[in-house]
Amino acid sequence: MSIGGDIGQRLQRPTISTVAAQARVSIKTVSRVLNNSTSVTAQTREHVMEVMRKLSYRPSPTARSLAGHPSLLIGMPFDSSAVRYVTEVQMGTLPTLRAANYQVVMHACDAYAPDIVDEIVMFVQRVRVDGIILAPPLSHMETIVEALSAQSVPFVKIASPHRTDFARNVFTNEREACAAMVSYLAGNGHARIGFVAGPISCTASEQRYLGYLDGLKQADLPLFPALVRRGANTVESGMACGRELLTQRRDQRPTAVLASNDEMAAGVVCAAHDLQIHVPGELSVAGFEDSPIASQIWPRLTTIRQPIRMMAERAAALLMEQLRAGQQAPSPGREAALHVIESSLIVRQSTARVTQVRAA
Amino acid sequence: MTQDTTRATIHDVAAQARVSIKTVSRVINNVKTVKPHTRERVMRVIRKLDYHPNPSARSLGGSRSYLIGLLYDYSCDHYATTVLAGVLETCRAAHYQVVMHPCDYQSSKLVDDLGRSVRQSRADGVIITPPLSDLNPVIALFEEQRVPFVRIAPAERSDVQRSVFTNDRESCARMTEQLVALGHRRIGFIQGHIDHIAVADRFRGYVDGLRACGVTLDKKLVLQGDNSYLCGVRSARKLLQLPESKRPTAIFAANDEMAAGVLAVAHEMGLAVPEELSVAGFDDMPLASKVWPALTTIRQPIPAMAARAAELLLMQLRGESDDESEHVLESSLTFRQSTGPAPNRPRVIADRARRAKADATATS
Repeated sequence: MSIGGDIGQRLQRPTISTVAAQARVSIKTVSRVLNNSTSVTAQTREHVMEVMRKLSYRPSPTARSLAGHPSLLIGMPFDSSAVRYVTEVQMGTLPTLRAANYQVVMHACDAYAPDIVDEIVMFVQRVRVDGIILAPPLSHMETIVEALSAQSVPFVKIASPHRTDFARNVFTNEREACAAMVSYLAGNGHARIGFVAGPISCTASEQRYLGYLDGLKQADLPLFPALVRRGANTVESGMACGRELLTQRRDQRPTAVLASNDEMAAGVVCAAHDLQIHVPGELSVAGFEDSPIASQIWPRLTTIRQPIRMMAERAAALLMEQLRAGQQAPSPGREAALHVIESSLIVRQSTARVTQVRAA
Repeated sequence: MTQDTTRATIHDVAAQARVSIKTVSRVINNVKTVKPHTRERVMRVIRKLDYHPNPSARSLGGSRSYLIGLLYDYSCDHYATTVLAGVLETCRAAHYQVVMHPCDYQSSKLVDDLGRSVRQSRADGVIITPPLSDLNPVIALFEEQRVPFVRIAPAERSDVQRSVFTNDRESCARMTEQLVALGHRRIGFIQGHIDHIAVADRFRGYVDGLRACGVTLDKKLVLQGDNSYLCGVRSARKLLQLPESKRPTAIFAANDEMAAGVLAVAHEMGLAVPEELSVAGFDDMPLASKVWPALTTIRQPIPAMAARAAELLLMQLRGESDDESEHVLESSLTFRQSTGPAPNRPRVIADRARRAKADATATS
């Protein structure tokens, strides 16, 4: 504290010793406050924080990493097309990460770029994250998982279709939920149930398509190839598929359409409005995901709620467990519990009992 | 044998890859000047030797964390996602990463929480989104801690070097004028959330537009909203239950979610959009083109504003200044299917009568 006064304060960045001296505590205590150690009393913490505020003290990141402290940062790389999904994941992980004083660093990337694995490895090293949370479609990619394992970075995956590595995965039952939706529609008298599938490159959409097939089988309904179309997970593609399905001869067109996501279901509803086909009077439409638009279009969509936030919450807890266990990869010998968060059927106004097709 | 004694160094990587240390460092720091095949070769060696750059060596080069904080309110997570896309675009090129700082703008501990989380994350600077960008204690906190910041869409037009604006008021006036030009005289307006000060400008724009066209403002047609879909539904019920001679022929909502609520009520009541009711929103959220009929709205240049905000912040961090006086990104009117000419009332009544008659014969 040799340099006093205004000029000195401005010239010299306050150090940890300045804070300790002013707060009349040891440097170790200041360091404990900075690292959120629980061994500091609330009163001392408040007092030290107050001094830091007064001095505009900011810890030097360099000093911190030299001391071998964790970065307290969790990386969340995500595919640029899955922004909504990752927002939900982020909101779901927040309470758990916050409570443990971790923060989230977002990293947008293109999951289908040829150098995606290198990119994620470089992200991990540059930001020096303590752990990684992978959401779809990145969580479906084995190459990324292998690279992260090789780097010994703790990570967890959300909604991977591969039922392995239970300690680092949180699953949902998309396939079963889709089958349940078909059963629900069949139970309402629908025998001609159409399906708008997602792109073939998307693992999740394949699970949903398989669920559709399971559902037909369970309800003893035949599969009509003319009632299945493949879209691109967008409203526009849903509209195009809907138009194709609904302009077939009246006795051959579907009385219900299940789409692989809500956007495409919204597109089918638009096509029905355009063709003046009443929803749900003449056509039932169901989606998948329960994204915000499901309850913002008219009529509101019957859909399957994907428990993204709950999966994310569980994933964050699993990651914290790994970090507490000393950043060790979970030992393969240990029996780990299977974490499945169930998707659920949400019935709204877009589906109804089938009405008899009046003979022309 | 501890791993540390055999740990690969940057020299090992450089030797095996037959490149200079500088090149390895460029690959690690993702500098664009490295040729793709060189980069590929270095990466292969890095993987083979299981080389981990020493993070402290990197940060010794400067005290920067290369992290930028993005501050937003929990309730605005979807807005924040759009902002994030714009910020990431700018940051990616400059090798900055984004740390998310969601918070509750109504919390009494807001300033302490933000101060703590930004300090912990070691962010080099922050981008502040509305409604936080209007909170003086938040701004004061970063001034005091000397954390560089840029604000998105603050209501106040001061501090122009560290703010990015859009012209909500002007575009709302133009939208209102367009509705009047379509023959609408009774135009309902649903206001945004009262805490979003910049959103209040949208109402001022509506008033300006009416005034410019010589249409008197009818206060009964103006309702206070809160930006939510449900509030759009409630407000539309109130407006559309007015006697037919007093009911609006067009409803302009201060955001798309509320406009979507208005559409739902129109469908429920059997009012044809846009033949019997025109509906316009604001923002051009993805939702606007997913509802039926697709919404006429005002496109807010959110990603462009966010990208500009990030540019301004990076300039501050580099100690540069720019000479542009004010950063205003223009919003633009987007006409889709939810607006049309004002109904010719006698024809509507005739249509109704015809429909009622048709229904009566169908049920008899």
